[in-house]
Amino acid sequence: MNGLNKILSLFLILSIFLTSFSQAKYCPEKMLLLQKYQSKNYSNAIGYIDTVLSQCPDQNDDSYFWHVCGFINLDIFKYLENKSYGSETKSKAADCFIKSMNLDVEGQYSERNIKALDYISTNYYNDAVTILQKFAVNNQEDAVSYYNSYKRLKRIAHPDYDFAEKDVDFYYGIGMLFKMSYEKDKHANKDLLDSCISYFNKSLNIEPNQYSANYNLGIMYHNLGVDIIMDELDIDADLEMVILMQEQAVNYFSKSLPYLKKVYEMKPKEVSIVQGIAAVYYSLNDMEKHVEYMNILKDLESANPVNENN
Amino acid sequence: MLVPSIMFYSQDAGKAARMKLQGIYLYSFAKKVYWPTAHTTGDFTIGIYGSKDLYNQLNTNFKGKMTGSQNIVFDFYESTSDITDCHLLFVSEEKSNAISNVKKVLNEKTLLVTELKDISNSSGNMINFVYVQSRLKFQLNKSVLEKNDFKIGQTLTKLAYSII
Repeated sequence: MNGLNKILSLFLILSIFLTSFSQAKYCPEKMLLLQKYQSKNYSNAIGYIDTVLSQCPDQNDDSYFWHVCGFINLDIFKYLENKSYGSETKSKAADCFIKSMNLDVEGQYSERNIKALDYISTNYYNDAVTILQKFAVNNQEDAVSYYNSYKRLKRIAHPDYDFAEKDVDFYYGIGMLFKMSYEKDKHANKDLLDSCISYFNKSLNIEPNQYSANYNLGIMYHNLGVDIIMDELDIDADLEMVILMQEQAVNYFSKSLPYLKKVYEMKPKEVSIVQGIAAVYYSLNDMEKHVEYMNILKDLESANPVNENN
Repeated sequence: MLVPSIMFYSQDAGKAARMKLQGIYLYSFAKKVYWPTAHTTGDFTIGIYGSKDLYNQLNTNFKGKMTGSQNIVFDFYESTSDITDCHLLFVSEEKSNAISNVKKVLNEKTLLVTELKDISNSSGNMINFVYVQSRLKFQLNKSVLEKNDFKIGQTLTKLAYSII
């Protein structure tokens, strides 16, 4: 990325003079802005943007002006803000490049605008993924926002870009983050559970055979059923309430099964899946099936005393 | 993208949930069934024959609970000969073959709760746990209960899966 930046900067400096002389209307404030930028005086350069627009309103429709504005903001983000999270300057840089693209009918700056947008969108993506990898459980909303920014910019730069693979991973990852937040305080964060399930399902809508989302939904639904009885059901509860909560628990157990059956088809020798299915059948009081899977488990364990996943 | 997997609750957690539900039902029976006044003094004993897990669960979660003015205590029996004077006796599924022997040692104050597939065709059983579509429910044998002078609260009658 450094090499690319150097090339872009060099090109920009060269084009400053060429373009300045080719402008129909001379704008001294714009010249000052370009000089400040050229001397890497970014803080000063950015201050001239509004001045140029007020003194030379025609610049508002100039793709080159917005192209330069994009780089001023981008360099501030990179060199002055040290690529900080949630930078507004980064967002402004992207807006400038998009304006430049929209005004650039001849495609004069197209390649460099696209490269700059690629850089910014990748940066958003990395920020989103970093949140997931750090398991920053309170920042899931930021991760979603960064990921959406990544997609928006990438789509502008590459309208035909296929997001499917990244969506599958990201939606699963963010689902896990919501799940972890929920588990930190199940009572206070109950609303996060819906987000978790929703993101797992978004991942599965794109790739129905995604192992991890199926596996985790299967486990999660079973655990939710157990939680209802073990954590939420008061021992002094009225029998009406007991019946109601048992109903909810059974619904969760029933929902768990198709997901676990699916991953069992994918990994029939995975001990934890067989244990899971046996546990769900136990919770559903289907003892015949429970015993069937316990026997499968016994066979697996005797065939492979120290389990290795497939 | 590296993200962790969710840990599966073991089958033991499912078993604990099952025991808790059974415990709540037994506790409700103790509160919602009315014993003849001769048996409403002293401790109220719930005996468990067969399921040590259920006994442990009751002894942990329901310790100190009361029904009316009676303190509820729990007793565990390894065999029918251990069964002593109790208000409510639960015989778990694994001991269902021993029901006829159990009945021989019961006295008139004991409410018998079983875990049989069905009690429609059996006599002498009073309350029975059944699993219907994965849900724990209970059957009431009203005639046997009334014959033994037990009065059943309206809630239990209304919520019973079937009344014989």
